[in-house]
Amino acid sequence: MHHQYIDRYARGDSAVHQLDARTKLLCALFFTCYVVSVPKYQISPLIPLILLPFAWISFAGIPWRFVGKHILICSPFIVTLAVFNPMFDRTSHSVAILGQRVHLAGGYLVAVNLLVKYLLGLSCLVALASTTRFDHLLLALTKFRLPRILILQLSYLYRYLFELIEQAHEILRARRARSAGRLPLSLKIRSAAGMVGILFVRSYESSQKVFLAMQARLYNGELRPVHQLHVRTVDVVLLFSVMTYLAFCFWITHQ
Amino acid sequence: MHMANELLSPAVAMGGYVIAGGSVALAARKLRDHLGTELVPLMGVMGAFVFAAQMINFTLPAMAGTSDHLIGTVLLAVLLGPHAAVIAMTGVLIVQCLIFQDGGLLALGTNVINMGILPAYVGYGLWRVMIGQPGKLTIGRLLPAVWSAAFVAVALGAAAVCVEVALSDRLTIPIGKFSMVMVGVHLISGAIEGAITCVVLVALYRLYPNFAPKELNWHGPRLERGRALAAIAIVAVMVAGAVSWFASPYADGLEFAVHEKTHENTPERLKTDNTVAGKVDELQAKYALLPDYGRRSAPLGAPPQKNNETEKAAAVKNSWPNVSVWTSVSGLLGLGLTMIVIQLIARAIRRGNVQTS
Repeated sequence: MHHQYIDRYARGDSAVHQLDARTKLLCALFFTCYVVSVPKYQISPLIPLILLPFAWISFAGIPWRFVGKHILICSPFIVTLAVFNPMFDRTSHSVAILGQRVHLAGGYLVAVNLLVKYLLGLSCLVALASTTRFDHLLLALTKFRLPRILILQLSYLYRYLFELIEQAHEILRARRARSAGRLPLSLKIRSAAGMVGILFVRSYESSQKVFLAMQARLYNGELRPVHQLHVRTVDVVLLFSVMTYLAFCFWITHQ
Repeated sequence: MHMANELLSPAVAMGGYVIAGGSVALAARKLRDHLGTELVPLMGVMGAFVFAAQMINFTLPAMAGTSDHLIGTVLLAVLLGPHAAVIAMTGVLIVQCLIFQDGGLLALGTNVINMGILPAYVGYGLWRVMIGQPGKLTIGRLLPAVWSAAFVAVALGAAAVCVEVALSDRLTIPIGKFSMVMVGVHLISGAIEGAITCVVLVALYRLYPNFAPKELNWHGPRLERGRALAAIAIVAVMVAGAVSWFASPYADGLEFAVHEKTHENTPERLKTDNTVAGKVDELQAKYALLPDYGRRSAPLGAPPQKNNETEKAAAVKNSWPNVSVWTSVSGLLGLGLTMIVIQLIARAIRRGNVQTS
């Protein structure tokens, strides 16, 4: 997973990219809440929900291959967890598949339920991350009254993350180049610890340099963003329609 | 240890958000009172450090392809204090969730508790208690304290995952056994985390003595190296012993926890089912010596003849409202059509945008 590819679509200029970050964050949050609240033996209420991430990704013009790759990269854990459910839950459930009533062990329903929820949640998150710049997301979080220090921390983290990951890659490459043969565990732990230590020192020193540079530019603990968020009519309409859509999904599965 | 949305119920997720939010707000206030603006770049860069340090892994012996890496909360707590560690880890977890999609959006609160708040405060507290009297602090007391803090912190995080999963009731894997394996695996993980944290601290104190606690009696490189190596040797022996018990090709403790389940034998597993169908299955297990899970639970499976009635009762109890072929077919058709229409509109809009711009 190379870092340059993580949120490379976030700087696009589609209609979805231009929406207020707060709208998108709220949509993702409501959507995820709704998805998670579906009971574990039910699958059909999840199916109409696929439309929101699908529309989001389609309108933003994010390549499906990119989305699919992300979903696959993060999937091993949840797939492992889902796959073992049928072995434990053997309660019989009667399910209608295209009108045919069949009996299924509850574990299979839970497994499919978990996988579909994962698919929905992750595609929504990929859609959010690929259509919203991180600094806009931070502005949205500021408007939602997150502690200022946390926001500042996040903005620095994002700023230096990729540089330090690059450094970690360099250190790892150097180790690969130098290590030949098998080492005893104690030596492995020591070499790993030495690398972590060096990384800490480098990070610490660069933070000191950053601080000095910022003080020289009259930094007083306040960050002033260039960009400001604007709620437009389309944001309100969109948020309202997403709520309506979720309510509709609720209605058709509970009628 | 990152949890996904799907393992949590909305109530547990919201509870996690409330607790995590409150604690993070408190930590932020504490920090603001104690330190000035200098803190901000330090915290941010330290968060990035944790992120990058997690990429430095090392392979374990006896198991090809298995590797472990530092989580780093206790290291940060010891170096910078627990409040700073909480803020840094929270930032890391938010970025991992929003940018890297590691850990779910709703599970963020519980993840902050498991990997930030619990390890930072409990680990740091244990460390403070164990180093005891500041005046008499030696490296021989410092390292066991650090190791125990990291070890307990990781195990506690794993235990918290189990509690949250149990409260949510989203998995059907029996929670008692899940917890045993989950915590068991993370005990190993914690032992390794402790060892790395110790050696990182020794390396750092040697490079940068001003990071070391002022009370520490620093006797010169020779003695400490001997003691540190002795500590490493003990830890290495413990780790090697523990690891050989749990030898597995799985890299992640959580995956291992789930995998372990398949080897348990059938009767025990069935005991945990206390529903009607569970009892039915127990009966079946008596008659069929080797129940074949894949086949028995296959979609087409008509209920076994012997237990027809109880099975039917269970089926009726769990059945859904009437669904005819046509409602489901038309629903799926409608869904497919809507997706095609969305795709077409999106394509048209995008093409229009490109031409105008």
